[in-house]
Amino acid sequence: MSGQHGFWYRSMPARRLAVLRCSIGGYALVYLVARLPHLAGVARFDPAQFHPVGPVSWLAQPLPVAVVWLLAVCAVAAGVAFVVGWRFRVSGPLFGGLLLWVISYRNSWGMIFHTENLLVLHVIVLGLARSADALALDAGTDPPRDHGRYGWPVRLLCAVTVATYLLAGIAKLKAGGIEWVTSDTLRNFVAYDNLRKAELGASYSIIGAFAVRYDWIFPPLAGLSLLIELGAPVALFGRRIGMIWCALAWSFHFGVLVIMAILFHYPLLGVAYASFFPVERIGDRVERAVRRARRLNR
Amino acid sequence: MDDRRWANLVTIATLGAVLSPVVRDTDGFPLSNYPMFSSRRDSAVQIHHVVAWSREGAHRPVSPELVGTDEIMQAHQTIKIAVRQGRADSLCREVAKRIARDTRAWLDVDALVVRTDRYDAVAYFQVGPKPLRTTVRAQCEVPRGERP
Repeated sequence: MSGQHGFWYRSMPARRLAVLRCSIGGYALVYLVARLPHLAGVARFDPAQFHPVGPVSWLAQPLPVAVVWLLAVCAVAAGVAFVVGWRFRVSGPLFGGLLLWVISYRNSWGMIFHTENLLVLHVIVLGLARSADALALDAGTDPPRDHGRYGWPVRLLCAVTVATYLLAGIAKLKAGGIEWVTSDTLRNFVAYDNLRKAELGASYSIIGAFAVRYDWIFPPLAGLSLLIELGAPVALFGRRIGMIWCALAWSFHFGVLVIMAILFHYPLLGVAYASFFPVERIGDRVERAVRRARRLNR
Repeated sequence: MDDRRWANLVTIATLGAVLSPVVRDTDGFPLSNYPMFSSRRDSAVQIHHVVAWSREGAHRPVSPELVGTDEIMQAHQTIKIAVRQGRADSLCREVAKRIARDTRAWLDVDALVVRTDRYDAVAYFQVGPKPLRTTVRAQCEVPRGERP
C-alpha cells in the first residue's frame, strides 16, 4: 500500500465513493423497509427455533418483540441518515452496525440467507470510510480533490465481493473436489431445490424441472460456475477484466434464477458490482440533466 | 489516526474476517464459507412439509405463509426443527388455526398432516411426484366450528 498512486491507495474521486454510498446504502434502506415485516416478524417464531448467529450469538434467548421492532426502526432511521450523508461519522458506522444486527437476528432462526451477506459487508465498509465527503448534506460546497482516501474503500468493496465468490468456489472444491463438476451433484441440487419448492407450495422453475431430465446439461454449467468463483480474484487486476468478470458473475446469478428460481437480488440488480465501474459518471450525468432542465424552464 | 493507517486497519480487519471462514470451515452471518450447494449430493432427498386434505380426499401442500413465514426455506426449516424437536403436533395445530381463519383458498380443507417424505429428486421430475417413503409426524383437524 505504498505511494499515493499505489494499487490499494489509488487516488479516486470522492464522488465515486459517494455514489456507491447512495446506491448501496439506498438499496439496503429500500430492502430494509420492504422486508421490515419479515425482518421484525421473526419475533413471533417459536423460541425453541432460536439459533443465534453472528453478533446475535451472545444472546441466550430471543429479544422481546418491542425491542426487535425498535431496533429495526432505528436501522431504517440510521439508513436514511447514511444515504443523505447526515452526521456520517456517526450514521455511517451506526447504519452498518444496525443493519448487521437486524439481518443477523432474522438469520438466527435456523436458516441463514446467504443472499444478504455481501450487502451487509458492503454497507459496513462504506460506513467506515469517508463516503460522505461529496453528495451529502454535510459535504462542503467545493468538491474535494481526488485522493487515495476515496480509493481504498472502493478497492476494498471489490475485494470483499471477489472474496465471497472465491470462498464459495473453495467450499465446493473442499466438499466435492473436481467431482462437483463431473458428477451429477449440480443436477441433484437443482432437482432437490425445485422439488422442495413444489412440495412446500411455492413456485418453482419449470425450466429447471425440465432440465434435470438431461444429465449432460449440468457438468458444463458446474464447470463454468466454478471457474467464475475461483477465477474471481482476477477481477481486481484491471478495470476491463473486472467488468468482464462482473458480466460473467451476473450471468451466473441469472442462470441460478432461471433454473432454480432463487433470486440473488443484490447482484442481479447490478448494485453488488457497482464498485467495479466509474459510477461517478452517473452523478455527473444526473447533474447535467438537472442543469439543462433548469435552463429550459427559465 | 491518519487516513492511511485507518485504511490499512480496516482493510486487514475486513479481509481477514471475510476470509477467515475458509480456515475455520464455518457458516455464519455475515461471515460464511458459503457452503450452499457445495456438498456431495445424490438424488435421494427428504422433505418435511405440511399437507392439506380436503373433504373430497384431494391433497395439496400448505404454503409457507401458513407455516408462519413468506420464505420457502425458512418454512422448510421451521417444519424440520419442529419434527426434530418433537413439536410436530403443536405446529400442525398452529397451521390449522391459520387455515381456519382463511376464508377463501382453504375452505375445502378439513385436515392437515405433517409429513416427512423421501423422494428421488430426479425421478420426481422424470417419472412423477410419488414419494419413495412417507412418515406421518402429526395429524390434526382444521377447527371450523359448526358448519351450516
